[in-house]
Amino acid sequence: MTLKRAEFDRIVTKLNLRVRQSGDLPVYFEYEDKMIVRSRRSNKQGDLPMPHAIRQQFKLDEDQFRDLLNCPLDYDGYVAILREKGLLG
Amino acid sequence: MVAAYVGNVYSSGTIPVRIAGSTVRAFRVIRGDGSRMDDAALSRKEFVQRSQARPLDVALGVARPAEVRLGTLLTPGSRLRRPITLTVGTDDILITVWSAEFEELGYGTHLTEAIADFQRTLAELYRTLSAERDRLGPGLLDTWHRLQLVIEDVP
Repeated sequence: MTLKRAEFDRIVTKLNLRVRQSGDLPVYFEYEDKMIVRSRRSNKQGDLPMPHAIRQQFKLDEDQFRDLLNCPLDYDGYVAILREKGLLG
Repeated sequence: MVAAYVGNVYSSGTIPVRIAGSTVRAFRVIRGDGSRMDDAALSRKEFVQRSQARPLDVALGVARPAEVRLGTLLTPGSRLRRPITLTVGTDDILITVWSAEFEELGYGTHLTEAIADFQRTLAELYRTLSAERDRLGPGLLDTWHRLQLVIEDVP
């Protein structure tokens, strides 16, 4: 099972992730000027492998990650999840 | 498709070998420079001769390792204090390596490429967290502390 690049890009837009320009594309979720979580979209061609690994990087369970991909989970909802997990400091 | 890798994946001139099915008959050799030999149906003897593998490598060759221990980084200026255990897997046609310790992933069309991808990614993460250490949230701060236990800067 893979994750399509367009799906990853949708997450980047939806969560307003900060994209660092390098060989690959590391992305960071920032909140109140703190770097909270990170992931990466490789510049290699093709879909992204191991979506469950990407899900873990975003600190989401399977249902939450599915909601993130399918749109019910928005920025505010994601912030609420991270706050509940104690990841916002 | 079962993948097997002959020799030390960290040494130069590594030859990843893909083996179709569970027996050593047909395989594709990907040279160290990424170029490929044609698929060929070979006997076990021919396989050993062409790959310069020891018979034991062939006997074990049908099994892709479940784990590898990474002992080096590709980045000048930093090195590992101890090996990192990577879980090896596949996803469609890709080989993946995953560090549960750092929740970091590398992938490629063969194991050597996946490991190199992981090495680059981990080094990039180390550099970034080092540069941004004053504004890390709890999760990434914990990652930074764990990275410092494993990676050290060298002159």
